[in-house]
Amino acid sequence: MALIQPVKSFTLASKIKLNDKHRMPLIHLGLYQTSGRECSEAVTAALEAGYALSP
Amino acid sequence: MSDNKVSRYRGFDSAEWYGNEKAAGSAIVHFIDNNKLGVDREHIWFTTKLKENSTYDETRLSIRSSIRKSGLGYLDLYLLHSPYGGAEKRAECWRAIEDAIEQREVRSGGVSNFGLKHMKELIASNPRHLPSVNQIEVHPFNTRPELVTYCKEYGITIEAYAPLARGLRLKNPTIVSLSKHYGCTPAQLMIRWSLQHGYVPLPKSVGKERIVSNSQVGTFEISETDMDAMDSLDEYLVTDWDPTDCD
Repeated sequence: MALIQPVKSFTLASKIKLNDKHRMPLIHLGLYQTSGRECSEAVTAALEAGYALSP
Repeated sequence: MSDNKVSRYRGFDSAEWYGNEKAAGSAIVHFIDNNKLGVDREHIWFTTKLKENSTYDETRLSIRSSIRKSGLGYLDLYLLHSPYGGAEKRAECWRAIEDAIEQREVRSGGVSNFGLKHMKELIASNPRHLPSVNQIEVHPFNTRPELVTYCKEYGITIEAYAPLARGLRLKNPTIVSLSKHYGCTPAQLMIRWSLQHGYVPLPKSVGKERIVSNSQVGTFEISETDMDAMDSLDEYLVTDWDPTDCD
């Protein structure tokens, strides 16, 4: 029978420690093939993501 | 409200090649200047990449140009976008990144699309700074076990681009059935797979709803058996280019 383990939670605030000791966010927004206004809007939406969810 | 409690993206993956350092950087600067929540430059992680491996001087100039275009003052992570150009150029451009790190233009330096031989070559050169990341295409349909294991040995973090395989396999029966089982979307399942492997996924989306939902991967955990089932979907699917085997 499998034991119930707590879910390892990953959030946008989670960080990973790099081999040079810098702490980097664990999830990034990829901006490949995104330019101009579409890019700025995506970045802004990502920066505001939390507010869209919970006021 | 503490910054840690707000689910906001902090990491942005740009490139000289994408032509969006200015658009991305300006949006970040605008947000920093106008938010009342204390979000500052140091809360953001901005990555960009050298388009072409050329010379030491050109690389230093490209770094300064990226800083200027983004308006962010410094770059958090700077990568050689590919191994193209041959061993000599790779070594020369890497040395430029090392100097940019030491002169604080760049916080952390890494590589992208480096295959096993390129990684071995760089490490054998006994560099002053090891690359902190190798950004490669990794997802359940292209798992690159050998390369990933080698990078891990040196503490080099794998950044997974195209973590959703550019949407090409979202209807794969295993993906569909597992996402139903875990009550998530196929995209969330693939992002969670990436995180559980210890990778840093870089999902691309321009739609607000998807940007938000791609980050909601904290409430379920893929079992070991199901991780294995996903790993076995490997078909070396390349969704764009694959420089990992070049000279």
